[in-house]
Amino acid sequence: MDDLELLKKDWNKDSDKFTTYSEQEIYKMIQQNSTSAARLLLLIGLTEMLIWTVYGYFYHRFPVERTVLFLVFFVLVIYLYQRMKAESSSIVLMKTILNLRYAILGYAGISLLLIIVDNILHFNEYTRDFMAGVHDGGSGNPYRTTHPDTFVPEFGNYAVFGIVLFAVLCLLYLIYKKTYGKVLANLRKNYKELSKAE
Amino acid sequence: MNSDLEKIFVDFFRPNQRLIHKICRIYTDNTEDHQDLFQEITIQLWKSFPGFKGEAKFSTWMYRVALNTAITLFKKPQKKELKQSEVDFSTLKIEYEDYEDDEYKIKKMYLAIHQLSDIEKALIMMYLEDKSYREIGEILGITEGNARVKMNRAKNNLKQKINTV
Repeated sequence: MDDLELLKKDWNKDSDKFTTYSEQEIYKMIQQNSTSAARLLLLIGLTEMLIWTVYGYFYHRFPVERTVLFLVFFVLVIYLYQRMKAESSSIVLMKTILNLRYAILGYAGISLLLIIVDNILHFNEYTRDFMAGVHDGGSGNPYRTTHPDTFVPEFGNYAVFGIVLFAVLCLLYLIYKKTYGKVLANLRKNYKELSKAE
Repeated sequence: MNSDLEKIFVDFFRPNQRLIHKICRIYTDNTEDHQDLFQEITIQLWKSFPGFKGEAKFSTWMYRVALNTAITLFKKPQKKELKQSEVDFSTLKIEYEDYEDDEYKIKKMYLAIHQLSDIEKALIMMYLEDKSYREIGEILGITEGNARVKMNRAKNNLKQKINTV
């Protein structure tokens, strides 16, 4: 007999190895919360959006734009999550989850872009702030004792500040890889395999 | 107190548990993960149940949700490295002695299935369930022709893996 036919025979025979759950056990199961990757993605995503927004308010950067942006993306993310149906075809479900991620990534991307643009526009001012911070830290002064305007940045100072800024961006990238990367790596792989036309 | 909808769901669900166990068997390799996946599938089925219109058979609808949960929604646990001391050599010896047995061959095939990709596992499972290419295409969201080609590739890949496990 062909190997696969043998397997098919075994597959379709009634096996008593499986646990049969009682009515009460099933009722108990359906009361539990889902631990699905999509739900986890939603929770991480909303937390991330909230952190970006709090950051914006804390530093008084673009509060109005950020509120509008947060509300638009919040509605979009919840809408995409609600649209996700486990009974859709596999490829549609995968695409919906990936779209959910793109929406969250879009928000983070815009937030990051605003920060980068802000840093470029105020590079001189922030370098002075950075130098004042380093000076206070090194001298053991209380926070914001030294006025930033007492410093005149030179090329080396700009370079150090630029490197620190770059390191922060790298750190953000690593955090993203650790959080979303793990949740989405498998999904991306499966979507690629399934959507590949033969 | 259980609602009427819960009761209808449980009545539909109970006789079809075996189907979910079969999917869990393919997508997990230990009892703990099997139970976790079973529970997640049950939750997803319950969440999706209000959308079940009764146009398809419950088992067909259930199959689709269960498979989607296994492939896409279930958060796979991190693989633990198996230490040499944890390998049960007595089991391996018994398997070697029963080399020609059908049962041994079947075990080997299940081991090989576990090495396939998630999509190939789904394809092989649908082959074992005697699903038509049209149904497979509908469940996965691909064309019938594409399903046929992917199925042939999955079967060939499985045969190769059987020879190497």
